[in-house]
Amino acid sequence: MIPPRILDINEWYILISALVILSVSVWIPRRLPVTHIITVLMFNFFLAVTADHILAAPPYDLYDIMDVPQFEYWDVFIYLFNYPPAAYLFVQIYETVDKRRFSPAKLIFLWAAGAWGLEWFSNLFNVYTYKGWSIWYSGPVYVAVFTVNYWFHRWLIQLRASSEPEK
Amino acid sequence: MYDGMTLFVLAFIIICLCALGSLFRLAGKLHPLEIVNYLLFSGAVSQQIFSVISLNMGRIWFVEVSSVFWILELGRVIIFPSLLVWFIYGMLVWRKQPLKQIIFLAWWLLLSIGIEHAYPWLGLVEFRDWSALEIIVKELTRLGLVFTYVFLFRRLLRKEGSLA
Repeated sequence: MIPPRILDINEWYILISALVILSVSVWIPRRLPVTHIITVLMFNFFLAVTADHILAAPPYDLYDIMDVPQFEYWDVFIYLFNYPPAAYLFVQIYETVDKRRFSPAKLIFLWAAGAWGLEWFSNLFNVYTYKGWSIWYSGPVYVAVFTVNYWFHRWLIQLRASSEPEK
Repeated sequence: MYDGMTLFVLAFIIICLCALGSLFRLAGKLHPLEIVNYLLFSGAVSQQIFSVISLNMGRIWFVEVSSVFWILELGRVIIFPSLLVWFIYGMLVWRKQPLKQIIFLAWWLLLSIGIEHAYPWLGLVEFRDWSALEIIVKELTRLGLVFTYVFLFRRLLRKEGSLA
């Protein structure tokens, strides 16, 4: 992997945004078991690695992340500390809000809009270099990502319930 | 009509579905969250290792066409992670029989490396300057990472009372 030579504007942006999102994640009360949370984080780590591997590497090669087209340490940092906590917050907030007033669809669109806004903002700091991609494509992708996260979370709850020993 | 490559991709998708389906057989033997986690973790690790080796080191070259890319991607995301979950199961079942574990490890390495080397044999990829030692080190690195995760995740499951 390629080590960072200097900390320029995109690395600072990634560091500060990770710090903000991790602080919020730690601050909000935890409503799910640790293994459930780890599974959600792992799912999003896998999703991010897979999506970027499909879209950002040859043969499609639609965008680059950070400074170089190759794989660098900061890519791993983003996969671990930027993307998964956003999905973790989505799941935690879903468990916290009143579901009669705030439907899953509303939350999915709200989170997708937030993620899309963050991607737009991160472009000001040269985090992504689009080659064949456009920020407009990211909107439906985020809706799909948070919809899948919602299903995955519900499925995990069922899976856990079916595997718990009877008391 | 379908060409040979399309049929090969379809056959590979069926193999992937069988590999995933085989994991249902482990449902009563491993905790369901374990199966999901180990599959996801080893899939992510396999892709990261491949990225480093192909993009950064240029030690693996593959034909940059969609069909080849998807065969390799499905291999990394489904075939190898499924094999790893079966391997974890074997290691846990024979945890008190080290000789069986060693034989199982040898068979697993043979199968895993064999599948990986079917790719150049089929003309999909080209390994550049690989020695047998490097291949084994790569596999053992992947196993080491996965088993560290297995150890930590099982500890958490035990702490929560989900695992005996």
